[in-house]
Amino acid sequence: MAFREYKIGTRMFGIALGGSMMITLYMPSLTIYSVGVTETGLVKGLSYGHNSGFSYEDPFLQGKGKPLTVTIKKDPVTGADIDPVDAYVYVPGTPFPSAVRNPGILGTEVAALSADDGQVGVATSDEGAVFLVSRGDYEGETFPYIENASATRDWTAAAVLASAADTDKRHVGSGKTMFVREGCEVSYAAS
Amino acid sequence: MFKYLFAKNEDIPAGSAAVFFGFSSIIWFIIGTALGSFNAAKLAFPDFVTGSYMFAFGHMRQVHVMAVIFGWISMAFAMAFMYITPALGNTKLWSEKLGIWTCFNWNAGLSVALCLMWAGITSGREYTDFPWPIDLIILFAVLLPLGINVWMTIVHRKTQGIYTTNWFFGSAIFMLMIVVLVGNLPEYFSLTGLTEAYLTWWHAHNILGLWITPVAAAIAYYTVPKITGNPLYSHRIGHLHFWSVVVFYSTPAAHHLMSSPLPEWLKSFASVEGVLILVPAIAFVSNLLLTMTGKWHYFVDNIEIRFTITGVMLAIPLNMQGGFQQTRAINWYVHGTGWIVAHAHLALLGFSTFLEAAAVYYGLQTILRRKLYSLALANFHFWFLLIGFATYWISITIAGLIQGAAKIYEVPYIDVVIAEHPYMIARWVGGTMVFTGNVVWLYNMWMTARAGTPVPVGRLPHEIAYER
Repeated sequence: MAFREYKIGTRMFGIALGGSMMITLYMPSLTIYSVGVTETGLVKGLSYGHNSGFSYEDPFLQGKGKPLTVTIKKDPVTGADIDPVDAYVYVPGTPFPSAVRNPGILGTEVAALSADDGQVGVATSDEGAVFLVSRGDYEGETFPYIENASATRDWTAAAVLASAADTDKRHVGSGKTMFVREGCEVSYAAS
Repeated sequence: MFKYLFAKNEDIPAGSAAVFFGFSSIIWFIIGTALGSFNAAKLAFPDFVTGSYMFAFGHMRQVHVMAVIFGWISMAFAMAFMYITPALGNTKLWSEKLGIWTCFNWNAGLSVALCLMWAGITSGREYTDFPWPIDLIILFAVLLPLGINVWMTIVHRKTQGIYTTNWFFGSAIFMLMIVVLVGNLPEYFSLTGLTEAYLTWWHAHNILGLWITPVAAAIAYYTVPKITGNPLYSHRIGHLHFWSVVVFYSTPAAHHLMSSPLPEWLKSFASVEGVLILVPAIAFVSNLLLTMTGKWHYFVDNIEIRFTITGVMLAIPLNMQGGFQQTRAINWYVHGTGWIVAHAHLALLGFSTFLEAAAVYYGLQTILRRKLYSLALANFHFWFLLIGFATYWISITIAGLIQGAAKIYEVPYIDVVIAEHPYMIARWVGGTMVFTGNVVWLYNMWMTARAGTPVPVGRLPHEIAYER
């Protein structure tokens, strides 16, 4: 008998493994891409920021390049009392999260609201920005969206940080990424 | 090892790479289980070693996991590749020098990576904890050379066909490279949220399903027929095993995230595919046990067969658990509890480890042409490993059921901690027994190399195990 080359088997292996990749990677990506993000998803995305572990900006995981979550109780511009709201503060140079870089991943409705009402498109990492999770209407339904408060309310990162007490600032991921992933946020003051 | 790194390939004795990988794997097993025992002690005795974040559980747990998977298990696999692949092709390893360089890169790289991780430099994603530059180094400096050596040895074989074991070996390395490359996409491109979670578990599932499980099984396809002298019961069932691994084991990644907002069709599909994993499992177990027909005395007499068949039989509860714990009803109860930790140890410390230990025992004796230094110490190793593992597995399974009940009935957390404390102590005792057995194993294999009785030409080590 001739030396076996397994040509058919090799092709079948390629088809089987390729088919598996298509079902478990490509097809879910289409479904996930087409679904709108939830409010929880926006909060997590904005509070965690771009880096979720080792990165060039923070090779020793010291919390560099991470946004701050700040609970605002007074309007940073006017000083008037407002209902407490969580703002996600990206000081200049802090890389924006995927949700801001590529709003298309948020789903059609949330992406449209974030772009039109939220004006996320005008935010730049070099200048920094303050983001909020707001709610708005799109074709008769209410959806959460990302609001670039630096553009819509003139809230700069510096003004927000100056107006809030240290106890209202939380720095997610400062040296304890794994714990933070379990939901145990580290206070900004402690870090 | 160092003298061979720059030697000519033809000047390096055949089997050198396998020997270096074999001893490396045992040493990493000792390191990994020492870390595991230390971590278990911290769970059993909360005041044990406090005050330094370097020794905090959160810093050390993943070092234990990665040391065991990429140190012990994967290096034992590499050893098997280095001597079984050429043996089944009736040829030599394509390049001993490449094998030795792979072993050197692997040990050096893993040491650096684990130290970095210990210091807290991590991707923060389970099973892909290494920062992505290290993942790429692993891919191109370890896995690719390993794959080239195995594939070229198969290509240059002197046999007409390729035995089932080498089907698994050749394909598993290729699949592992794909899994590592794709599974780290969230790090390369900073993917977050659901995509990150899914790819993390896609990677973790496939590390188990397309690397650890099939390669461990493939080793058994070699050791059992080789030692017993019986031919494999059925090559067709072996082929069924291979193809059903590729089709069924590569698809249920989403069953690790049954409570997540992943697409419902994906979770249902994964759950069904997860049950279908029983197809390769039954094929494997039945094929190996039937191969033992008429030779069951080896299960008592022969240390390698005892390890192998114990591993094969541990595949039964492993796959029964795996097939059903990921269905929605059961997963709702056991997800996030010690049950899953116990299941993971059943796969890695039970099923897989016993098969690899057999490969290392058999390989070192065969290549070094030395009879095992002490059968008594080997028996000590076997029983400490088996009893230690069983103690660990049973105690954490019970603790997991307690945690599951507490989760559903909303029992206060501190009450759960108190209730599971005895099982945490049992976990530590079991893990420490495994560690102790491994220290004895290293001594036994070291003495085998240094002072083992030479095996006469034409004989095999297991044939003279009881000859004085």
